[in-house]
Amino acid sequence: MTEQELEKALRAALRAADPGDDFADGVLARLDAADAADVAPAAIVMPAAQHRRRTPLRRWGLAALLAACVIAGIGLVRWRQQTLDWQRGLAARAQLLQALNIASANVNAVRAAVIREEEPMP
Amino acid sequence: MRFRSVILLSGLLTLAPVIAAAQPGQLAQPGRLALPNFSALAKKASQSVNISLDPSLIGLAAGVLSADSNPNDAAIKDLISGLQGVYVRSYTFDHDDAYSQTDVDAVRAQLTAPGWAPLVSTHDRSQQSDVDIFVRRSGRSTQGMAIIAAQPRRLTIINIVGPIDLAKLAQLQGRFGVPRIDVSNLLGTSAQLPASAATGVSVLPAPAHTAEQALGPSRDR
Repeated sequence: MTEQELEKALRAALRAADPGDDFADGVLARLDAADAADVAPAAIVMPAAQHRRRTPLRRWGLAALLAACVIAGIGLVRWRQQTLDWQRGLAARAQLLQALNIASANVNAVRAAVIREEEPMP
Repeated sequence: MRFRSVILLSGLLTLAPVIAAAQPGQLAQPGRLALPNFSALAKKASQSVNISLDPSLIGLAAGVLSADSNPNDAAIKDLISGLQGVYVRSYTFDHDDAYSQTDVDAVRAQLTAPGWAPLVSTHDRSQQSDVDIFVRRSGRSTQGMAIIAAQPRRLTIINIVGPIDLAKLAQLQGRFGVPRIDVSNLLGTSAQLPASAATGVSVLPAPAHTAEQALGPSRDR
């Protein structure tokens, strides 16, 4: 092919052509189709659970649940501790009363002996 | 540097309550006796009482007493306020001379230490019964009390640590819903016996008040 023939072929190939009346509609339709194709797959790829976790209500609900569990745990431990303390207190009270009773009896015995010694015999 | 100071200060502030709480227990309690291990006596005894109430247990008992509206409990709570310990060892035997004097000497030796003073000592010759009351005083405050009641078939050692009012203690007997302990049986002295014939009582001088004042001003006439 000579240089002139090549130039002629290029001119023929690159000559202006009328796109037609429906060209713009076709381009817009393709763009809409491309947008739809770009967005929809991303939404499908995201795991459903991950999507739900990102919602504020779900996040705060989970935090509140955790806080409630922690508070309930602390309350349960404290309640158990108080119950044990109460039982130990009851046992300690019984021992204390017994100890004071024995001590009181001895003090009264000495007191009675002192009084007898100080009182003159009839 | 400033960060380290803050960390150090925070650590000290955190440990301060722990150290403060540990101090009273770690410091020697002046009215506390080191009671020997009477496990050998407990094995020989027909009845034994072993009570050890430290400050924490007394606090728990006081909490239970506070929750009860019984007026007797209020009197007991008033009596035990400030107490740091109550320790009782009491052994009853089926036969005479089940324990030796050396068992008691370990306790008596501690009562010769400075601060301890004998308050009242009673001796029943016929029943071979001795009851001695010692008090530990610092100035005008009582830091503790010890009672040693020795009979041929019974040995009782009581150590109350902290301020104790003997008069109030004497008034409490029989007010706990517990049967009153027979005093004559405890001392081995019968009420029918002539007191002067059976009982020899020696009232020892007390540094701050008389035994009569300590044991209570009222008399059971």
